[in-house]
Amino acid sequence: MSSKKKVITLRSSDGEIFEVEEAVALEWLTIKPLVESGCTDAIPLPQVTGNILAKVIEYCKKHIGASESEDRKILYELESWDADFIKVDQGTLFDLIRAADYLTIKTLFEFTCQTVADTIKHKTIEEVRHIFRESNDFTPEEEKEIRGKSWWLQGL
Amino acid sequence: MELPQEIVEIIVSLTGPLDACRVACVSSTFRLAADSDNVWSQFLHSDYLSLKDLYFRLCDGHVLLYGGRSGKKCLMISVRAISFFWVGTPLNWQWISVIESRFPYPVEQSTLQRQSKLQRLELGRMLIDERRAMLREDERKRPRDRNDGWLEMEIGEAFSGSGRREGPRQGEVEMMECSVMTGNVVLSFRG
Repeated sequence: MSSKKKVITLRSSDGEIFEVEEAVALEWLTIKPLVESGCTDAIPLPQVTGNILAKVIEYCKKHIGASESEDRKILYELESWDADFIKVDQGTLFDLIRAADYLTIKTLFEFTCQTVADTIKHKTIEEVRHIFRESNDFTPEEEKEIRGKSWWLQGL
Repeated sequence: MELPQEIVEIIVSLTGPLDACRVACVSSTFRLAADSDNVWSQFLHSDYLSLKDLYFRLCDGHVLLYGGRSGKKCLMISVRAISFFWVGTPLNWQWISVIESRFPYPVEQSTLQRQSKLQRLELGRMLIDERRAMLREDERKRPRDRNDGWLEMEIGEAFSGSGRREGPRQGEVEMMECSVMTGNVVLSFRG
C-alpha cells in the first residue's frame, strides 16, 4: 500500500456520496478499470443504495489485508466480526448478495451466498418455502412426480 | 424469488445433493435452479477432478465397458422392475422356487423359465434371445466376482431391432447378464 492513500468517490443510487481508499475499490472488479484509469469524478453505482453501500464498504475495509493474514488470532477475530456483520434481515442479506455480484466482490459474494446456503441446509421443504417466501406453484401431480424422482426425499 | 436464477444456483451448489433435491420441491423457480447442471457439476467436482476423471470412475464402476475404450454402456435394471408385456402370463414368465438355486432367499427364488425355443422380451425396441436365460447356477456358467460387490453371470444374448431373427446382430447389444448383490437380482444389458 502506498504511503499516500488515494481516495475514490462513489455515488449510490439514492445520491449518497462515499469515499473509500483506492486499495478497497481495487478489490471491486466491476469498477477496477475506472479506478485504475485515474478517474477523479464520483463513480455512480445505480444498482446499490446508500445503506447497502455503507455495509459493503464496512465489510471490505475490515477484510482488506486481514483475509490473507496467517495470524490465527486475527483470523479468529475476523470470523466473529463476520458473524456479527451478517446478522441482518433477509432483505438486507439479499441486497448484499446482489451488490457483491454487481460490484464483483468475490469475498463478500461467497460469504453472503454461503450464509444463505447454510440457512437452507437440513431444512424441510416447507421451511425453505417459508424462508424464501415462496409459494408452492406445483400441481399435486407435479409435486408427486418430483418427489418420486428422488428416493432420498421419501418421508420428508 | 428475489434473487436471479444464477445466484440461486450458486447458493444451492453450496449446500449438498440432498438439500438440492429438497429445494427442487419448493417451487418451479427453485426447481429450475436446483436441477441445473451448474449445481450438480459442483457436487461431482467435489469428488472428481474433471469430467475425464469422472469418465474413468464410471469405467471402474462397470458403467462404461471395456475400460471405456469402446464407449459402450452397461444398463442395470432390476428384474422385478422390468415390465414385460406378457408379465403375469405363467406360460412365458414366472418366478419359481428352485432348490439348487444359489440365490439366498428361500421362497422368492427367481428363475427365468424358458418355454419356447426363441422367446423374445420386448424392452422398447430391444429384443432379447433368452433361450439361455436361466438364472440357475450351472457347470458352464459360474458367476464371476466383479470386485465391486457384485457377482456377474452371462445368461443370454440380446439383439436390437424388430422382427424375428435367429441370432444376435454383431456390434449391438452384446450380452444379458445377471448380477447378484445382497439378494437383489438385476439384469444388465451390455452394449
